[in-house]
Amino acid sequence: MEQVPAGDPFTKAEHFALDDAIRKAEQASRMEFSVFVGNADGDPRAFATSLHNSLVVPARSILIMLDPTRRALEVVTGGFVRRTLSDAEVELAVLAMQSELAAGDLVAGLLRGIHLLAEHARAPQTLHAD
Amino acid sequence: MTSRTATLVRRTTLLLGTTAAFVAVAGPASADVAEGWSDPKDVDAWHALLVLGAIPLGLGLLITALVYVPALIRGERVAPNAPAVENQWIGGPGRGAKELAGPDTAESEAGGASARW
Repeated sequence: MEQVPAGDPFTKAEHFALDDAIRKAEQASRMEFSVFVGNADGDPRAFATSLHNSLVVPARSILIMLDPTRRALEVVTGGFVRRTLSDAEVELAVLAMQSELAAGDLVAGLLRGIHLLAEHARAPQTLHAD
Repeated sequence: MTSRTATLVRRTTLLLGTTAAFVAVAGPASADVAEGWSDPKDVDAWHALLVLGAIPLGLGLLITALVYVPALIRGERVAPNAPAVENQWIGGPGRGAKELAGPDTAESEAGGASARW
């Protein structure tokens, strides 16, 4: 079994899988994906929006914040992202993540969330009929 | 003397008498080592202190060192109140969570969803 440093919930292989999933999600959706795993200070939603506002391009960014200690999950989407990814679709992704997280599998929850958010954030292909 | 005090004195006398009788009977039994039994020398006080005190203490220190020293060498926090998870970004700006922008206001265009599990 691969050793995990104290304080890091992921192995190297899991880090690689998450990095790979983010890269593929960004290629598919043309949006920026960021995942923050750690301890949320104060209100988790306010902390998540602070994280989101600290990103390079918040309007085009999707932030997933996970606090394993407080069992809090927050997804924040920028104004540009919301043109193609509605809050209802984010809600669906969050519900799917929630079931994996409740089973104790952080990585599966994150991977599923990243995949679903990228799927929904992808701009619909226009079919030209000329 | 009231009857209660008399009862107390009688019971105390009986208890002390019984105890003294048991000690008097048991005394000769411990006087000599029975024939055929081994008769080891008295244990030296320093030797007993070493075996019963220093060796367990040394083993405890050794086990503690074996547990904590590798973690300390790796630079991990071993304090009891250390957070279970260190803050980390995956695909993010790589900065810590200390230098953050302000949270969203009511005019924010950001959306999303929340959940607890």
